[in-house]
Amino acid sequence: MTILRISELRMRLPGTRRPVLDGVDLTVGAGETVALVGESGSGKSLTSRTVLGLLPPGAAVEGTVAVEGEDVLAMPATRLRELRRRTVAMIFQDPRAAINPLRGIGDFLAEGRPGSQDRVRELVSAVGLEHRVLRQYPHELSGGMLQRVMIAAALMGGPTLLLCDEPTTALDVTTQAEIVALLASLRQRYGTGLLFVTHDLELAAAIADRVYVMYAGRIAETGPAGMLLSRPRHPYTAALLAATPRVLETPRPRLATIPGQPPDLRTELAGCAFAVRCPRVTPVCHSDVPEPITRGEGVVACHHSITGGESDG
Amino acid sequence: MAEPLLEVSALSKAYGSLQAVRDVSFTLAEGGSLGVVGESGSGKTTTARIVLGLEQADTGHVTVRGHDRSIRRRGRAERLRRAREVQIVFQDPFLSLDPRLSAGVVLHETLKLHFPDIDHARRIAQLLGQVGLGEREAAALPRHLSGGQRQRVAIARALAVEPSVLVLDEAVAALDVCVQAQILNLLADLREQTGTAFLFITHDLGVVSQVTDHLVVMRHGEIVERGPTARVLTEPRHAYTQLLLASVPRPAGIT
Amino acid sequence: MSAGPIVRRPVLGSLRTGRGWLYLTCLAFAVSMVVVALAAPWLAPADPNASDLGAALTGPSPSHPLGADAAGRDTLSRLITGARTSLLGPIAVVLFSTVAGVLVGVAAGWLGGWADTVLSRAGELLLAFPALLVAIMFVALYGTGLLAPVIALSLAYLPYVSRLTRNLTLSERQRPYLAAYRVQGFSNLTICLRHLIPNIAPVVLAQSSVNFGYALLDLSALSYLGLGVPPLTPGWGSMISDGQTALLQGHPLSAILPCLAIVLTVVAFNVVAEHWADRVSRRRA
Repeated sequence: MTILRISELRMRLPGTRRPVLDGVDLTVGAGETVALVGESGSGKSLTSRTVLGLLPPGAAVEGTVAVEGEDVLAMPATRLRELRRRTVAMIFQDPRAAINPLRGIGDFLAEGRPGSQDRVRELVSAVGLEHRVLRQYPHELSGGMLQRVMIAAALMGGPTLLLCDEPTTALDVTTQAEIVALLASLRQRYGTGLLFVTHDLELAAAIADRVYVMYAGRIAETGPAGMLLSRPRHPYTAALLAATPRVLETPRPRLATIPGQPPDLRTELAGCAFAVRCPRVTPVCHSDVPEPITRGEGVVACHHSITGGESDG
Repeated sequence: MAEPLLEVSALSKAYGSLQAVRDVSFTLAEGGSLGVVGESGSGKTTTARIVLGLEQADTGHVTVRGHDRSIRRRGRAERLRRAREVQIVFQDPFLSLDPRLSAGVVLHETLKLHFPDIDHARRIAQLLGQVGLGEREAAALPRHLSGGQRQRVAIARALAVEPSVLVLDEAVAALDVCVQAQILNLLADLREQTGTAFLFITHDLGVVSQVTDHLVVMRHGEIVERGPTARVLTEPRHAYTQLLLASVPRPAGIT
Repeated sequence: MSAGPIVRRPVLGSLRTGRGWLYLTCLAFAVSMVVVALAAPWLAPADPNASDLGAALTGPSPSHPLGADAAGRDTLSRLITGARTSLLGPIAVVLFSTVAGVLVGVAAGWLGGWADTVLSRAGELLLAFPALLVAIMFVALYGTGLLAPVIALSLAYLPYVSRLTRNLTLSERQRPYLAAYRVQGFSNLTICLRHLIPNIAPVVLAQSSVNFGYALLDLSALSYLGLGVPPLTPGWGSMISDGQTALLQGHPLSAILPCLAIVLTVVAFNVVAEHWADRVSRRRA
């Protein structure tokens, strides 16, 4: 069963020449973990916020964002509140900015849900914290502990979909590893679908079943995590991987870089968004927008995708 | 080994009851590249600030080519001398430049202070060329530059002083992967061209592996492990280094 | 950023200044007041001190467009000439308090430690005295004339500026670009003058322009009490006090007009200042 189906999502912002989201297609199945990867300005956070009906001011939106079959973009305000309270929850990059510093953790978790004490205790244990944090205040907890509190708060309504917007970026490496392991175990236990938004392709591949790579408001490539990392089809995915510094026994003398910068929102795009930076570019890339093509288990939007080992590739 | 360029010996610094840095010693060879790795609260940033002279250590010494810079001294000559010993590139490209000044003006100010007698226009063009910026970027205010371009300006500003040691405090952490790769390559080139020694303060083991020869790992203000980068990253001896390495996200099925 | 908020004293501060037409009207009024003050000797139709006893306590007439006061002096000429003293005083107060306040605030914030403690406590001490009382004490000690009350009010307003500047300095100091200049070997003085002050200036200037309206009110109150304006120099405050007798005799124009001038000028300057302050705080947010 699919709990989130985004199809043909297009968003225009005032004062721009091209859509900031341009035909995004994305699905998350029940209990599935899906990662959405992109650099800053690619539209990954905008996409995840749309799922909660959070749109930037002046945005003009087309397409559908269906949660459990119901279009979020067409929901009345009361239904939307219900959705945010029960079905979809979100955790953010900076837990300290998302919590009221003057309220105790116990208060914060039980807020607006009278009689939920048992549930609060259960979830606090589930995220690996001791019950005494309920009597503590945000400033007494570390960033990693606070992020656990935020995860517990997100799970309070028993959501079927959890949106995580760079939830580990502000944390230390060792804490990040703990939070990632926690999210994986919670998914097992509660069967929550996870949409994990990040700029880190390797982290995405480590946590997710499937990965979407986004560039300039479009999905460049999607596929099973392992496949995407070992056999990237889109030149952009390949370039991202080549540019990531890794712990290696014999370091490469230089990292491979992509020339240029992502396209500006003030310029129109005729063809492929990546064309001007792409090593495999041909004239068709500048004139025609590449349609998504199924290649093996994945989908890639490229005129000259890198062929892998499969027979249909 | 020849006499080290930068020698940090037995640094300690406490803020109230919190011991931020405890007995930290390391050396950096002429033209070398040393990584200081740790998580938040490890004391790596405090160590860097002491090396820079932005903080005073409680005990211990920092010497560059035998000149002790941890003693409080006044005077313009001493200030300029210390500036030519160590320079810095900060993490946040959005906050590390004066928002009112263009790259050209920033470089001109620095050159006027340190090298009043040279042809400034030519040296500015040369510095901008070294960091890969053109005339358009030189005239633009920071808010009209991208994060990567700002970081290039900050690097050019540091190099303008012709320092012996360049401290890079998480200098690529706030950048997108592609931009980060460009800056790391640029730094590698600059090290080759200018012979400047690098002190990389970072939490990112991938970055350390890419750009440093030697490594110290810090935790709770102390150094827990040190050695050649390749050795520390492939055969970590301390449990904490092992934990750090195990925490680097690695997709299942790929090694 | 978490800069100390600009101090807006009540009533006028709550005016909504977002509306463009209000701001533009007030800006035009404030600018024209300044022009009137500058060009007063050429604009005034008559000598403000010449008494035309035949015209005493008359209403508007061709020779006295706004009438004359009990001593037969032309109200319009006195208003125009009075604009000089009434605006010059507050401008001087704003100028002195801003320059001194910025120096004190930057010194306290940049040096920290005992310098900060001494300067901040001294500022708090000054804040504890009502501005008007300090001014009256200065006038009593150093005689009438504009200088004594201007210095007194500058001192009284200095802590508002210095406290704001100190907070701005503390938060700006955290920014790495200032640390970079220290590492580059620039002296503290150069860093403060060339980088710190220009970057915090917009917020400080917004506070100072808010102070202008209050200085105008305080100085007019002093001049009403007969302090702070040399004799024979018309000021709006002293005009009100001179006009009280005329008011009782049923010819209110010579007392009401200076009141109106004070109120309108204060409102105009405040609306303009609030607008600037809002814009600055939005830009820095």
